[in-house]
Amino acid sequence: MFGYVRPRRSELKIKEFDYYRTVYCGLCHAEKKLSRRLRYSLSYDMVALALCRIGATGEQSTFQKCRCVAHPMKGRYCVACSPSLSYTASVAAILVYYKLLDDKEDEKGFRRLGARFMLGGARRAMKASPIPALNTLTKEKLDALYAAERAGAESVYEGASLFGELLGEIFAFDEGDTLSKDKKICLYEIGNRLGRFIYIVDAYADIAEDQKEGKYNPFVLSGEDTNDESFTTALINALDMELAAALNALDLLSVEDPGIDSIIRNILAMGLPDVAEKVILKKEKMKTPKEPRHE
Amino acid sequence: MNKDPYKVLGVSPDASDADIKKAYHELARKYHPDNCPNDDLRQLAAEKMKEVNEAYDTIKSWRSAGKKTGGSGGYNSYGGSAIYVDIRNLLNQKRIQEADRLLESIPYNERGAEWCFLKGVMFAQIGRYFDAIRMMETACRNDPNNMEYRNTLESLRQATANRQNGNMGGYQQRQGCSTCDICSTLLCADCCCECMGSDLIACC
Repeated sequence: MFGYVRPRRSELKIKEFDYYRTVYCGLCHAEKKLSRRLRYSLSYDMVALALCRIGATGEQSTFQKCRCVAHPMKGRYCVACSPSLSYTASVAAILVYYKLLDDKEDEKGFRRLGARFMLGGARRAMKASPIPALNTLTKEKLDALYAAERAGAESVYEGASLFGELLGEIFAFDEGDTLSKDKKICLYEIGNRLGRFIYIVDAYADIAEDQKEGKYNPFVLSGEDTNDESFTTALINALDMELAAALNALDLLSVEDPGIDSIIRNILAMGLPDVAEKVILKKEKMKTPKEPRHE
Repeated sequence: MNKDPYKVLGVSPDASDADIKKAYHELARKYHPDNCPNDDLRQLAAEKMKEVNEAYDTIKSWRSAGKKTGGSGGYNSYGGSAIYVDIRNLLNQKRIQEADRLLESIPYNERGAEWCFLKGVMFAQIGRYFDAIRMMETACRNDPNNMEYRNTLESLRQATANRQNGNMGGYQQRQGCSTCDICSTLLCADCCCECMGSDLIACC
């Protein structure tokens, strides 16, 4: 949804990066099966979800060579569609659908047109692989979130905890009882912390825009100087604590595949802190030669 | 002693240590026996002075005891602070909702440093770290001399510092080339040139 959840590329091993890319491509193909239009919404966040699910279920990845619009000639190796990937694709469809529904109401001009164009794809994708329980759950949580925002929740944590709960449920959702209870608890915690992190960072990133357009933003409401050093350091500190909790949960999840474990660890311990610093302190910590492209 | 020491100093029970010290100095100057030329007055002033001294010492001993035992000291007998002791106990037992209800029941104008501190502790317990740090900072601002507040704030901040230094070590990025690199490269180039029969640096 936001594209914040990505690894720090320079710290990935090459085999880890290759694996990351195959999951990315595999997810894209899994989304294509649901709806062609859905793949344009592919984001790094969803790759992180896929990685966590693959790590938790311990399923073995098989690879195959696939061609697509972005790589018509050479093709790319990608992870063959597995339960984790198709689950992630369905989640993407649901999240994108509700996001677009919201955009259609709020946005104007081209963005609204784009939202309407994509909405059909998302709706079709939802029908192609329905998870009704997850659908109602998402709707409930998002409604609660929007209600809290409309009511003008004072602290950023009111929205953050609701969004965290939503992601927690998504990470730990398990219809066919394939995951043990312990794994579910750990997955829930990782998702929950990620959701809180994302919500807070996103709220901070949107301050200027929300101020201009008069939309709800908890940091604007607080009336504090959001560029003040004490404010930003406190915020960075608080975000670090969310990530520390997520890392603890990852330790307990004990992912079998060391490569997958290492990628998730990289995301939580480096990728996300980089994002927080970039958004909140407005600085690039480490220049990577090239940002990973959307493929 | 039969008088409320806070009343003697003319401060509210949840005033900060700094405020109490200030009030004490003010009164001590006012009642100092040396100010009085008249003998009777001097005696009265001495009595007052004694009272003020006792009150100040009492409050100080209460507060230091309260800090050591987590608030079970002499607070209890005084309305304003008794509620904070209750809140501390509730927080220690992780009965967060009850603690929050008590905290919210305190009117705005009576919310001093300790209120901010306890609210911060509550926030930290439910994982609202940003709110916790901000509250704790306010508490420290209101009462800069209180070591408990400072220590808690520091430990909140440091909880993450360890993780960053420990986990994110990895290898360090190389920072271009140093002076040493330049020299050694030149020397290598010189050696190569000499092998080929020529010379790059004439002196070696």
